[in-house]
Amino acid sequence: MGIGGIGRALMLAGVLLVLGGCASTRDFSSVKKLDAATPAAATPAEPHVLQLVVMPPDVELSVLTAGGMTEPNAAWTQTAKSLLVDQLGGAEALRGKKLVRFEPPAAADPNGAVLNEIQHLHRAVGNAIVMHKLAVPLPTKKDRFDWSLGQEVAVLHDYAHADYALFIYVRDSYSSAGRIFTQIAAAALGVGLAGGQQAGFATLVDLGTGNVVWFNFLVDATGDLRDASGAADTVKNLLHGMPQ
Amino acid sequence: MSTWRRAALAMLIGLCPATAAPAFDALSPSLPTNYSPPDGDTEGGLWMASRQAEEEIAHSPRRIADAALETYLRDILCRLAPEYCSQIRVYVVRTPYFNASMMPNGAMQVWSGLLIRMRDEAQLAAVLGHEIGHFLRRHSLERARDLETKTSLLTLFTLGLGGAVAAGGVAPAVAQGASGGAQLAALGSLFAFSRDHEAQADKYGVQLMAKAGYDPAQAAAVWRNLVDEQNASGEKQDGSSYFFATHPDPASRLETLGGYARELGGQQTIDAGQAHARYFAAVGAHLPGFFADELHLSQPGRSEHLFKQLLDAKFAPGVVNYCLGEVSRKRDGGKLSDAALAYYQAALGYPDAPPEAHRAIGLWKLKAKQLDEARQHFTAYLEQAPQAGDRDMIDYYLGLTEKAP
Amino acid sequence: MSRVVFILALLLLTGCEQYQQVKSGRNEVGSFSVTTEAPIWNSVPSGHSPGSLPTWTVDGVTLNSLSFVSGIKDGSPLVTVHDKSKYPVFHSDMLPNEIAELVQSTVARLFTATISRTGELKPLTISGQPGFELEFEFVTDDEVIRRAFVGGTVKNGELQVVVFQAPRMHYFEKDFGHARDLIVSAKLP
Repeated sequence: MGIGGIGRALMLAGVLLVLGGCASTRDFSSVKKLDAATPAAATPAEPHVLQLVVMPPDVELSVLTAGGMTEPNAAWTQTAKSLLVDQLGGAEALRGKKLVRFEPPAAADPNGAVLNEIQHLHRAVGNAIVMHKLAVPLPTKKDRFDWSLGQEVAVLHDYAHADYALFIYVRDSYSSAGRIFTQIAAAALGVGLAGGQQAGFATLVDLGTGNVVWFNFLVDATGDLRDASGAADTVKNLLHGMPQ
Repeated sequence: MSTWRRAALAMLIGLCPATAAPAFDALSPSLPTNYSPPDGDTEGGLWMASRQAEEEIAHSPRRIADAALETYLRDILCRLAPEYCSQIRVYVVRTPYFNASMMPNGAMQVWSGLLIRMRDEAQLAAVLGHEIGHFLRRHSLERARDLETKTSLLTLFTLGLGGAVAAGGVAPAVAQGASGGAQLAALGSLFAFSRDHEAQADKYGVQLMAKAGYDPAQAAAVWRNLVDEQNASGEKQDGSSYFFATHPDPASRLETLGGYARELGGQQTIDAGQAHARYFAAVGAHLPGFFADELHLSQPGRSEHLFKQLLDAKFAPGVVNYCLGEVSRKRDGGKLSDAALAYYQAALGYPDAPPEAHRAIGLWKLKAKQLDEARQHFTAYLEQAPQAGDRDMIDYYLGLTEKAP
Repeated sequence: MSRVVFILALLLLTGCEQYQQVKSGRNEVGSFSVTTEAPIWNSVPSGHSPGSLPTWTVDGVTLNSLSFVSGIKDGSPLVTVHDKSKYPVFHSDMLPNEIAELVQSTVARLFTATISRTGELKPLTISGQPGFELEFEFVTDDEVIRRAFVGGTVKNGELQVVVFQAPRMHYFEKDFGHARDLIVSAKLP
């Protein structure tokens, strides 16, 4: 089992262990309140409006084919990404903040590789948080929430001119075969599972320090990212509990 | 071959068209030239997904950003499908398995493991032609529409679950392919094809390469090589090749491809010698790295077969001999391998011998307590590779050669 | 059905095996006796550790691991895995260059990774024995670039190696100092 494999496998463990109702979330934070990374220009008369860069959602929607293979569906995935970004624009939890959409760097941009590396690292960090905050605890982190993407986020800070970065990760698949399978698995565990689930997380990273200031894990039995209202619900659930 | 002789040969071929081959029912593209689909529909979604996947590949840590190599590959693609040249982009990815894939928007990824398994440009054209076949026939779109119909009534399921299941054996080729690049393979699998599509792309590929002036028989040769390599590996079919995992049975494929080649006949207008030189010039600088990746896979049967084939093809003989030495050394591990030493020494007979061949001989001689020779070769290694990361270690070995009686 | 079995197996692993905090001071891990003062390490249950090696982590195995490869005899691979035949094996006459390559090939297999850069290989004395240290980078199948620091030696014909690895971005530097101190001060019987 590779490093990524462990993450994914434990994500599953997290999913199965944590889930109870239809849409359940669990969040962790290391701050009570969000502050500007660069508050220099703020004055009492003109308070700094928090800028938040929305990273391209790491989303995959799949079909479980008859043979049991999950086959990512490009068109659905694309729709889901667009819908998520659109819905984030109107999200209650983000009111009063200035949202910046992350524009992918040009192919020749010397920072392109680092910006990509930050996004890949986020996936590894997210998997570690799911594994160790939801499934198997790390004794040294029992009362601590101190994961980070590190100082290299300075590149993202300068690139997007934002105080925080919001990362979204969602995995979804759709299939009648999958539903049967889930039910078998769930029944074997004595867990009542109706239909299927959507699993994902949202991560808020302080671009001044690189620290993960807030993390929310979502499991939803009814989530559907293929239409706007489903995406709105998913966004609401993903941002549930985000510090202001 | 001189120009006049080629002209004469062309005349000869022209004069004798009467080989009684069955007519080849040629395919034509369903993709309009300079096409871009409207946003919003299925194809628009596919193209947007392609663009994002392309960005990810473009910034992947595995990408080999060598403009000359990309241009070389793109030139072949443009020779195969000249009307679509402006729509095609190529990315070379460092992953030691045989694979290439083209996305609906014309972005193609070629894996390094493929590049070291081609004997000449015609074979490369056969693989690229196959991928262009998918592109020109818009197979991704057909596939997506097909899935939409099939799944319209389906219910929701977690992918956290699906993903973990995949890692556990449902998608062994991708998840347990014992290879790097699963993430990139997943990007490729966003645009998976059916068996019928593969068969059609095979046919289209042969048609395109023949029209471009390549020997169409080389399409079957690609598969023969892969089958031979698989047999030499002594392994069961285990999905360690992404291409094998997602494509039809090689044996029947070989036969069909050979049939197409016979039907189309050979009007080879591309000079094989020049093509070989071009291929080598484009990929040569990367070979030591690609070969090192192959060696790290610890599959001696497979690697030995591959490197011997490359030796026969007179492909980078210095580097290839060195690699054969490494394979032999590991196979004969625990004793001093005479076979390994012979390969290392053979490597030094070629101008492209890597400095590492000296180091390998140095290590061999140090173990054999032939200290003077060990010293000579370590010294030669450091002279040829003054920036070597193991310099301090080599100095340590040199010290050992001095101290001993 | 095998999928269901797989999931159940995973749950059993997850349910029964726990991470343990590594105590400050001297710890025996495999053949190694190592000292750590930083209260940052957790020992990883074998079901979660790559290659079933005794492994410690700070932030989770996807983010950093310190793996102890000890007592490897002539003809054996470095890890305990079900598909052993696919792993290269150690020979007791190997010189540091050959061991360095053995470690990299093992990492490439174990993590389905491509070795993207081989850095410095230098002599290092471990527990009074002449040994080596090695640094290299590899790209795993999740597209994360990881860096590894390896210290090792051959004692009484057996290979003894410690590997620290973490994503090159942030995580490697964060705990490299702790890991390196621990490796260079490791004692062997």
